[in-house]
This record gives sequence, C-alpha cells and structure tokens, in this order.
Amino acid sequence: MAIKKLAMANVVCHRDGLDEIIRDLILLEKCEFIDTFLEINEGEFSIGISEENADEILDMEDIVPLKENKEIKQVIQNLDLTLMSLNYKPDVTKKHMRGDQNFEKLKEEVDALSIKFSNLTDEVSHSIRKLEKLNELRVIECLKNIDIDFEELENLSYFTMKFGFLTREKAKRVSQNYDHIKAIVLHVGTFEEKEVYIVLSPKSLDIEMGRILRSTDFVEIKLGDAFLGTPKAMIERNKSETAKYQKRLIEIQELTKKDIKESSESIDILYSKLIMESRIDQIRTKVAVTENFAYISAWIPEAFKDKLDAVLERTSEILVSYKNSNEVSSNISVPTFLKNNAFFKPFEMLVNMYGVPNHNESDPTMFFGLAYTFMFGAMFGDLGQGIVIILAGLLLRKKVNADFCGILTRIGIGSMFFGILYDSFFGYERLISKILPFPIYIRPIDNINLMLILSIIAGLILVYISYGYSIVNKLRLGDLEEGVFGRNGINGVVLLTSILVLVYEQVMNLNFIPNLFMYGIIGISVILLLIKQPLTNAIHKEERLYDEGAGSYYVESGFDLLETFLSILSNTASFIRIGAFALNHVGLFIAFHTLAEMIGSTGGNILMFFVGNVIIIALEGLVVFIQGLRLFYYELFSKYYTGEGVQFAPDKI
Amino acid sequence: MDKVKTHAAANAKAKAMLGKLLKDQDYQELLKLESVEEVIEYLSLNTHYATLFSDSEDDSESLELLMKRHFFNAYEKLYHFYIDAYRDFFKALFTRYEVENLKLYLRALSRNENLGHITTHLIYSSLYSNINYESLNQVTSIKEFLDAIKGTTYYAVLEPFSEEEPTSMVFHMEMVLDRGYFNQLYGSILALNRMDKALMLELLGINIDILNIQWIYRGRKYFDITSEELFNFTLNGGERYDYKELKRFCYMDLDDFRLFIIQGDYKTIFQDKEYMMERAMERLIYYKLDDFTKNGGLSIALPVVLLFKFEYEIRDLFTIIEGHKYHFEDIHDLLIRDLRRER
Repeated sequence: MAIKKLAMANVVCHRDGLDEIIRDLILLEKCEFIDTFLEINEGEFSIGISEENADEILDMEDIVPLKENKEIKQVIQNLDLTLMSLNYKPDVTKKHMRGDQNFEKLKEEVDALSIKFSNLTDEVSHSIRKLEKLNELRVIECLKNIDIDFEELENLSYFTMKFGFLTREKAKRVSQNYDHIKAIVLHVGTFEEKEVYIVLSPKSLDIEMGRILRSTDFVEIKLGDAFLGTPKAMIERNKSETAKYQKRLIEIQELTKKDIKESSESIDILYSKLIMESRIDQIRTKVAVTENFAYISAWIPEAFKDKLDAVLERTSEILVSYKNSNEVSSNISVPTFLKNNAFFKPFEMLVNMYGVPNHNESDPTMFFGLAYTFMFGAMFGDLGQGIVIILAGLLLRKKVNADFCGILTRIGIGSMFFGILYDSFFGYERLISKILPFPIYIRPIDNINLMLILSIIAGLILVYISYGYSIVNKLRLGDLEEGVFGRNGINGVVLLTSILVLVYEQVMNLNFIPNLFMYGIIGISVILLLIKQPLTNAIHKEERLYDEGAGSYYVESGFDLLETFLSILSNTASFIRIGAFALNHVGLFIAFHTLAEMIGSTGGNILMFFVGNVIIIALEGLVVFIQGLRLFYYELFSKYYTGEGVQFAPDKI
Repeated sequence: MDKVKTHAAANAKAKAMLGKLLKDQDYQELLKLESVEEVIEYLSLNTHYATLFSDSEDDSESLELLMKRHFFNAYEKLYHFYIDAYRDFFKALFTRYEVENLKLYLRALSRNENLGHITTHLIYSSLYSNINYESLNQVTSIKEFLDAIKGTTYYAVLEPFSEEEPTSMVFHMEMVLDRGYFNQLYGSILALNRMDKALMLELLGINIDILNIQWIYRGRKYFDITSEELFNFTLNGGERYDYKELKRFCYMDLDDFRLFIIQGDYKTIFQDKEYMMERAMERLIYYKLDDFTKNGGLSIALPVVLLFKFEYEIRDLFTIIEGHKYHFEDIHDLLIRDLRRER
C-alpha cells in the first residue's frame, strides 16, 4: 500500500527549550506542524495523566498562542541590504543551522556586520544614488539636435526657462488655452514614453506661471549649474560621469572581495541561522504556550516515531504522546502521506492533478502508473520514437519539472515495448522483423478489427480493476449502500458482467447460460439499484428508510439507473480509442511517407522523415498523452476515486 | 448572442438585487422612527439588510462598516460574472473607493492626525486593490506613505511630489489621484462593446459635467484660483460641455456662469441652498439613472445602475441613522432620494 500511516505527536516541553526543539524537528523534515489550539480545543491534546505530569497539566489553564516576531524579517532585510552592496550571495545550508540559536545574538551580529562594512556600504550607496541621478538626466538626449547653450538660456535676464515632463493630456490643455497663457510651450521630444517640454515665460510672470505649471502637473528637471552647456556637451558629460561612478563601484567591489572572503563562512552561518529563525517563527505561531511550558502538535509518519523519540531524548524533561490518525478528532483533517517506489513516484503528479487521495483511500498511483504506461505505449507504439521520448525525459530532467520528465521516460518504455510488438521503428514497419524474425508481431494496420477488439478487452480489464478498487474503498468506509448495492459496487460488477455475457451469447449465437436466467439477474440487479437506500437503511435498522423523502429518491434513482446503463455502454466503447490511436499513429506516418514519395528526391525523403517524426512525436504524443489521461480521469477514476485528501507536507527549511 | 453571453447572468443578478432595494415606502417608515435601534430593527425585519445585524451592533461606526461591506459584497458578486474588458471596467469603477481611501490618508497625514481613527472606516476589496493597508497604517509622514504604496498604480502619479514640501502639496496630490481615476475609468470604457461604451460614456459624461460645474463654481467662489488653473483642472469627457464651453465658463463672471447653468440640463444643482449642492448633484444623477435601463435590453447599464442606487441607498440610510442619533427634524431634506417627487 502506498499510503503510509500518519500519527499525531503531541509534545510538551519547557518554554526555554522550545526554539531548539522546533529547529530540530524542522531539520528532520518529517513533521507537519498544526495549530496546537485545534488539538486543545477539541479536548484532544493528551499527555499521560500521572502525578509527575501534574505541573504541566495544571499549567494548561493559562494557555495562549505565540505571536509572530516581525523584527526577524526586518533584521533579514538589513542583512540583505548590507550583503547586496557587498555583492555577496550567502550560501544557506543545513549544516550551519545547528548549534546555538538565539535571535538577540543574531541581531547583534547583523548590527556588528553592518557597522564593520558601513564605510563601504555608504560609498556604494552614494555611488548608486549618483548613478541613478545621472540616469534620470539621460533625458537630455532628446535635446541632441538643438544647438543652443543652455547656460545662456538659464541665465536670461527677462525670461525664465523651464525644462521638464508634461503629460500629453495636459499639454493639450495648455495649447487649448494658449490665448490666455503667456508662455512658449515647446515640445522637444519623447523620453521613455514621457513627453519633454521647454517652457519659456517672462520673468515678471514667474509666480503666476509657477501656479499654472503646478496645475498641469509639470515635472521640472533640474539640470544643475555645473552641468549646463550645449546639449552635446551635456550628453558627453553625463556619459563620462556615469562611466566614472561605474568604475568606482567595480573598484569597491574588488577591494571588498578579500574582506568578504575572510568572513564569508561566518556570514553564511549568520544568514542560515536567520533563515532558520524566521522559519521557526512561522511555526511558533502554531504553538501554544503557558508561562513555563510549550505545547506542540504535529503530524509525523507513524514509522518515524522511534527516530523522533531519539531526537527528543536529547532534550531533558519533555513529554511526547502519539495518537493514530483515527484517534484524532474528525474536525482535524488528516493529511495523506504518499510513498511510492521510484518507478511510480512521478505518476503521483498526474494523480494529484485529479486530486490527492484521502488518507483512508487506496492510492491508485501504482495502478495508474502501470496502466498509463501500457495505454500510452499501445496508442503510441514505436521503438524509435519511444527512445526519443525517453531521451527527452532524461535530458530535460534538470531544466523542466523533474516529475514530468520521469513520466516521459516511463511512458517511453511503454512506447518502445509496443513499438517492437507493432514492428515499427520511426514509422518504418517491417524493419524490426527483418532483424528479429520471430512470429510475435501484430501490425495494427493489417489487423484493424483485432486491434479494436483487443483494446475493448483491455479497457474492460481496467474497468474491472477499478470496480475492485471501488468496492474495497467503499466497504472499508462501511458504505454498504454504494459498496454492495451501488452501481460502482458489487451489484455494478454483477450487472456489467451479466450484460457482457448476454451480449456475447447473442453475438456468437451461443447459449451456455440460458438467456432467461441472465435477464433474471439483470432484473434483480436493477431492482437493487433502485432500492439501494431503503434497503441499506433497513439492514442498518434505521428509523427512516429514505434520507430525503421517497418521491424525490425514486425520481433520482430512476435517472441514476438510466445513467448507469449509458455509462456502461460509453465506458466500454471509450476504450476503442486505444486501438484507434494505434491505427492513427501508423496512418499519420503513411501520410508523410506518401509526401516524401511525391517529392521524390533523397533530400526530400530525409526532410519528410524528420518533419514527419517531429510532428508525430510532438503533436500525436501530446494528443495520446491527453487521451490517456482522459480515459483514466473519466472512465476509471470517476468510479472509485474521490481524491479529496490533502497532501502531507512536512515543514522544511 | 454575444450580449447574452456577456450580460445575461450579471443582469439577472442585478435585477434581483435591484428589486430588493428599499422603496419610498420604506423610507417613509424609517423617517417615522425615533431611534437608531428602531432603524436597525426595521432594517433587520423588513429589508435585505436582515442578515447583517445578527449580533446586535448598536455602535453606528461599525454599522456603517457593516453596510459598506454588504455593498462591496454585491459588487464582488457582479464582478465575478464578468471577464476581460468588463472586469477591468468594474475594477476601474471601484478604484474610486481606493482613491477616496488614499485621500483620507493624505489629509490626515498633512494635518498630523492619528491614522488609527481612519483605518476603522476604510473598506476595500482584495479584488481590485493591491495596496497593503497594513503597512499604510504604520506610516507617519507623506514620504513614508509614498514608500508604502510603491508598486501600485498610484505611486507613479504621486511620485513627482516626493521631492517637494509635501504638506502643501496635498491639494495637488488629491487632484492627481482623482484625475488618475477618471482616466482609468475612461480608458476601461473605451474597451467595452459599442452599445455599452456609448451608455457608459454618457453616464460618465454626466458625472464629469456635474463635477466640472461644481469645481468651477467653488473654485471661483471660495478659492483664489486663476482662470488658467481652473481650466487646467477641469476634466475631459463631459457629455454636455466640451473644452471650449469649459474654457468660457472659467473666464466668465460667477453670476453669469450660474445663470447659464440654471438655464440648462443641470439647473437643479443651483436650485437648492448652497450647502446642499452636493446632495443636489447626487439627486440629479440618481434620477437620471433610470434613463439608462429603460430600453430593457441586456447591457452593462443594469449592473452599474444597481451599484449606483445601492450606494446612494446606503448613504441615505447613514443620513437617517445619523439624523435619528442627533434628533434632527428634517431628515428627508438631506436624503438623495426625493420623497416628495411626483411620478
């Protein structure tokens, strides 16, 4: 079984030791902390009641939650700032996180560090500010075609020159009112989507003009006295100044390299510990405390109890108690801890896409993995293309989602297997059979009917397995109504089987079981489907036969019956697509082959071979991938799988 | 068909909500009551506010908040029925509340007031807001305020003010925020379908006309503002008065201006006492709203009209509650809804 059992660990410890215990548990990466108050409010937080625990129990009356410590984020930000100007990226590793953990001390260290490097960081930030300013002044580039000395313009005796941004909308407003505004408003260019204007007005109207410009949201750009000159000179100057400060920044960084190297390890340790501190703080908000004690609740894998004990033993005076997941109050949802072997692990992704299994449901991943590999292979059977898919999975593993690549390699194997069976190598049939002349090959295109019949049979096998899962799941939950009488329960299996036998007999003109008998079974099965709820309630000796009135129940179950028959038909027919896609796969390559023959030349042949294979792998591969998922989600999962669980997510760094 | 796809659901929802809004008769009853408690009792027994007052809140401050939130829920419901350009439109429409919130902060900061008082009044929705109100509550100066709204659309328009002596700039900052809101709304309307665009441009145009009239009147009467500035601050996109008219207004004598308006579509603005101007403007819009839905077809109008009417209703209810609280005699004079209006 791939769903592992979880247990709830309730821990009581001394408050001073809390941080270190949380840290150890985080480093274990196997605990999912929950809000302890959930447990306490449910009256569930249990510690062995004995005389020696009396203090801890008595103390629980004044229990309060812990608050988040906002300072931590700030300290990390401060450190980030310092490190950024030093151009140093700290290395966060677990090994640095062990040992003493004391936030006050960490804070002091951060302060000390920022003081130690303060001269450098100051100069860096000064240069950066300067560079920003220079960058802003790049707006003068839009003046480059104007050959006027701005120093003269600035120092006119009777006119004031202003240079700055104006929105297009406001510029229009000004132009609509030119008859009243005593100024020249000149559009000189556009800079980074902002409009640049020069405004020239008589000095006597400075105050008035200032107010008018204010109401137009004019943003003046101060060029600075030292800067003034012809636009050409100003641009040159800007460039040289920028280069100067950039050079200085690099120099500073070179200079600091040695300093940082010396203290790099201590910075790494400091940073790692701070990260841990903020993680601890997140978990601390879930913890309940009293004056002297702290109470922690967490989910852990049941098999992990011993290891947890071993870790906690290191701390003295600590109480731990465990509960099975079914002993925990139903108000606290139990997460699902999936554990599949390496081959099936990637398929968890596709299963979780539908839904995470409930903790008391059977995990369909293994069945899914096997059957999906089989289905994909059957629909996309080609030895060469299968190899390509496997290679793609292996090569892209580092770059793309690792689970997805895992799935690719596995379905590629399915594809290879069926490729051999179909005698197909990169679309060319009868190539493999020449090398390996055994009578095992079934070429889809030569055996169309056989392919379609086989795919329905394969589909039926899958459907029967799903029924098995469904019955086990439902009976495990004690659901008699659906598990025995329901359409996905034992009754459903009987109904499907009898219909299949009946159809088979009719088609083959056989009569090994009398038809009348089969009709009888189907009739009983239908009646059971119709009265499943009152029947179950009668068996359970409930007072009420119907949960919501007899009338509405029968209307509903009548429609349900109709849908049952429809879905039996469509479920089985749906699997024809496995065969159909196998044929389609061959057909598509034949089309490219024909195109190649039409081109005639060797070059054309090779081109078509590549284009054909690329299109088939990309396009058909995708289609088949989706069709396989569809078959699973709709025809199989809907029968037995609810997927309403929540994944077990242990708290890590 | 396209119209059905876009509007059917939201229109059905809006129609249902519109039907639940208070009738004139409800107002009559409410005015007859004598205390805030009685108002709450009436609302919780007879109206769609029934669900709000489960835990007898008698503090009128939290009452206000409860009702505003009720209104925002309605907005969020409508919002979820729309996609793409229509969703953007609704977002833009509700930027107004955010702009009002920011203005409150600015004003309080410029007067060195405590922010604790305003934050309890604010209402916002995460649907359209990316402002972090928690960090906004911590600020103590306009400079910090600007830092706190970094990353939002408002920062870009307010940023130029960061260099200046901020307290004297509050007026300009408010103007910039307002105009930003109108531009965003205008832009979002342009992306709507042809008919909806026409309807919304008209509604917005009427709003803009009224605001422009108010601005010019008050600017001339109470403030020392030059005609040029006055003109620069008027809004584009008016329904009745374009920039040429506005320019004329800005340079007109105040009495002439008043006389001119009284002869036009917006005469009711100046018909009442001057301190009632705000109410007169709202009343004018309130009674224009029905024009937008009378053709009965599926359009954006119904949901928007619902939002307007809902908001006005809530404001009237606040007026009634406050009126009863301070035992004011002629509450009906202060209502947006005109209870003596003939139909």
